Amino acid sequence: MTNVSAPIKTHSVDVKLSNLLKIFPTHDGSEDFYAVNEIELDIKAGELVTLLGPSGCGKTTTLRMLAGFELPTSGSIHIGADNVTNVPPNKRNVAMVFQSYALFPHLSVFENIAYGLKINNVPKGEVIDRTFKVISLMHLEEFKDRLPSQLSGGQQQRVALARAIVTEPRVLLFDEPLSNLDAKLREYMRDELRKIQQRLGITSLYVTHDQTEAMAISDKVVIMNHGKIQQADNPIDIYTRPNNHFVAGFMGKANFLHGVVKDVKDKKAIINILGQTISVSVNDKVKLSENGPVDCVTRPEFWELSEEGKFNGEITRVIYLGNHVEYEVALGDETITMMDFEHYKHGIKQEGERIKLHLKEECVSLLPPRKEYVKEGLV
Amino acid sequence: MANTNTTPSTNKIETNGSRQLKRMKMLIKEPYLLAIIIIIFVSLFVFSIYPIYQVFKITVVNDEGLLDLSLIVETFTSSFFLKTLWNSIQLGILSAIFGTIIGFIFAYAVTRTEMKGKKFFNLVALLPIISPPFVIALSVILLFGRNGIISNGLFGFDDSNVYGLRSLVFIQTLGFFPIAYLNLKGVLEAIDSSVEDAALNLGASRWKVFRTITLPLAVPGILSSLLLVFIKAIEDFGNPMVIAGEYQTLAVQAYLQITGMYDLRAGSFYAVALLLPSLTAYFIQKYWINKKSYVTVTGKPTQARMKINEKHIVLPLFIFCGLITGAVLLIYGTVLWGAFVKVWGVDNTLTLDNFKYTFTLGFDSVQNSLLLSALSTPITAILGMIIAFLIIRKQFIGKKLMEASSMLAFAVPGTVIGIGYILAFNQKPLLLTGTALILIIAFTFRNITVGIEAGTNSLRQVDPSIEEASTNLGASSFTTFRKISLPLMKSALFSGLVYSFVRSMTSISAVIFLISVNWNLLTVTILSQVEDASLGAAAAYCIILIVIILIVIGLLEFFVNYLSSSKRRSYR
Ligand SMILES: Nc1ncnc2c1ncn2[C@@H]1O[C@H](COP(=O)(O)OP(=O)(O)O)[C@@H](O)[C@H]1O
Ligand SMILES: [Mg+2]
Repeated sequence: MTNVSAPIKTHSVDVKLSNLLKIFPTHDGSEDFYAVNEIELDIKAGELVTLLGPSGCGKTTTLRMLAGFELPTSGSIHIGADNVTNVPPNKRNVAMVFQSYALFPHLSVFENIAYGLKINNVPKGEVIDRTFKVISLMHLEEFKDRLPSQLSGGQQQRVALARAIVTEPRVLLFDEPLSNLDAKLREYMRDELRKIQQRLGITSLYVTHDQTEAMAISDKVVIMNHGKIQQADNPIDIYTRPNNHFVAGFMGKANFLHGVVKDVKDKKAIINILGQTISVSVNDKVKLSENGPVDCVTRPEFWELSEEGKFNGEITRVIYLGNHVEYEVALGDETITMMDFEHYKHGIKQEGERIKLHLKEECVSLLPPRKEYVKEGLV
Repeated sequence: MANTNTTPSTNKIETNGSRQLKRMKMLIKEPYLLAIIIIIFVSLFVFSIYPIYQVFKITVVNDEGLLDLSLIVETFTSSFFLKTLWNSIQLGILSAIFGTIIGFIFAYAVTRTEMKGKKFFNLVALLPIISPPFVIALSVILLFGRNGIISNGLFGFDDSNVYGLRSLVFIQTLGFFPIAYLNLKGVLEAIDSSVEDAALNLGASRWKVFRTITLPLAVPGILSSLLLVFIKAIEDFGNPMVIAGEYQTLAVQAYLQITGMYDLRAGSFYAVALLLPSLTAYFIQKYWINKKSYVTVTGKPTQARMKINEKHIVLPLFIFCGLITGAVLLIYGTVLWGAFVKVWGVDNTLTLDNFKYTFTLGFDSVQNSLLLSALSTPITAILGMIIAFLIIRKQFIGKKLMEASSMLAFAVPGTVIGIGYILAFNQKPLLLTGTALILIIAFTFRNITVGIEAGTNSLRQVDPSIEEASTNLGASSFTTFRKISLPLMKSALFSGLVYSFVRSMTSISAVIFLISVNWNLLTVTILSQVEDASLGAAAAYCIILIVIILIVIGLLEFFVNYLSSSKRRSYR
């Protein structure tokens, strides 16, 4: 779908959200609702940053404040060197791709895309020129005279993106742009979006609640919950070095196991879990003290069936998923979820069967025990 | 959920006031918007609130400018007033009941059955809406009056008494059932068909489905229809004026007190007495019942409804609708015929004399009505769309006030507006009485709610992110309104235009106080012809009026379609 020559000039700029707070009054006016709670976020020029979190955590609100559709209760927004906190939305040069696409139903594809240029008094010849360039970039030539209602979902999505980039915006915003597409098309469009964004080098903020989507396209993933940022990192660190239980649990599946620290040396901790000792790399997310409690994050794929495994368990549930089998296994008092990708070798186990498990200790990461977290009010 | 967050300690939390202040600051950055809001507020105050206030004021302040409640005490103890009040309410209640029943049966038949001739019934039911209400009274006189073809011609009665409550209820029912019909048709159509299907699927019979599902879901619609017809029936001036006889109603009395007895204060008092029940009914209808409505607009197209086809259900409905439609056609046919015969009931030869007479007597009032309605219609529609846009999409202080006051001149009986205008605008700096301007303004502010309702309904169906997308691309509020919202409100604009034109052309209760020698209007002319017993001329004028309305509706439809299709060409 992408053409060879980049037809669009871009002005890559940094974006900085400082101390951003958004309070909505509740209906009865009794209590205020903190939709976005003191967010700090830097987006480097040309980067694509994803806001990821459960529904209602304040992603859209954050995005809309950047677009200017909501005024922050306090805090500031900088685009490049400009403080745009109180600039009206039509003066920000920030383009948004809406979840519902929001194509103008009474205008043709061409007119939809040209709209932003005409509004900004671009000379007529240039309007036609630039619109056609974007139309060919997005492979929309044959649809240019159609009305939005005569397009499929994927085509509408491309028009929405074309309309956003044609004005050469400083920042591109996406609010769950793929959620109205079916699974196959979603993957395809996801990759196309990323390619175009990288080619044009437009600083972008992308909202989604789909963790795979976030992992696949982002330079940086920002996990939000209850209006607060839980962690902002590259996808690899988010997955392998989660800041807290929420992040670990939201990004894929996680088994949290309570452990007791036995010894710490050479960046390695010796930890007792489930009556066995394991050796885990130390991180800066938790202070370890000898005989103190700690939580170990073990992903389902960290466990494997093995005759030499230290852990003895009993299978309590079997879910066959084609390329792998998911087992729930009771290990002493705890129950974990694990995945077996080599079931053709091991055979599919039955409920009640006793098995031996090996844990890939080098993958395990450590967190402070959950109780402490709750006390601090961070989760 | 809110208290699961830790409260930020460093930030000062905004108060409500500073939030408002921020909104105002945003408004100031859009000076057009601010200016428009201010202009609308000022004009609503001057042309809706102030005149109505004047009507109230004069009933409690005497000629010396002192507070004086003697008028109220006097009138309230007079049996004549109490009788008149009771008459109006009785008329309203009876018409509301009959009109709503007929309207419901019509609506049910049209929305739920495979009945033949639905389109035709639907069309005929619209006739009373696009014609002046007193056409029916005129027709009833032609049919049942002294020289009536039925009373006299068919049965040979010499003097059948057509004047009084019974005729009046009949006329108001026939004239206003279409309002109930349209209202209930909308309600019945909006009930999700899967709800009724589910009941059928669970084994309920057609009758059970109707009684346990359809009817309960339609109750809010039925109540609001009752109130709407009630309001229409009591505030109507034309029909009771023509046919009430000894049966006095408030609207007629208010007029007679002022024009016959030159007693502005007494007239105003009758008007206020009329205003209270109708305004109460209006606001109950608007705020209480509408809130209770079960009907939700999902925006998703629901699957087609399975229509009832059983003979034992469809046939009785067909006969009923046929009879009502027949009555409506008889009424209008009679007027049409009456316009073409020499002397009604005496010399039934066909002739064009009546039309010639209208031309010689004066075509001025026809031209005036047409001109003034045509001038006020676009103003009403555009202003209505703008206010709708502001109310639905913009945040500003006093929004609720704007909404309520824009409704006021519509909800208040025309009689009150008429009297209010002569009280408020009879001296400088707002000396407007006797001018064409006062009529245009009266039309505009009486009808503006029509445009607002049409606009808000269609705007609610437009995804707000479509407008945000336009703003996001750099368009100001004004440009977004012009290029995106307005085109999307096209069909609402059309119905707003049509409805306000029709209402202007056919209105009488307000304008009868405001006409002058230079600016007489068609409806008033017709009324005076009826009073002079020149029924042929009155019938001819009525036909002219209806034909003009039909032509203008056709033209407007063409024009609006043309407007929207002509933009399809640029940039190919
Ligand atoms: N205009 C508003 N008034 C009151 N509450 C709002 C408003 N907009 C959003 N909220 C609330 O703020 C929270 C965050 O919303 P949003 O940012 O849309 O979440 P999401 O992360 O799903 O996009 C939600 O709980 C929502 O109910
Ligand atoms: Mg959202």
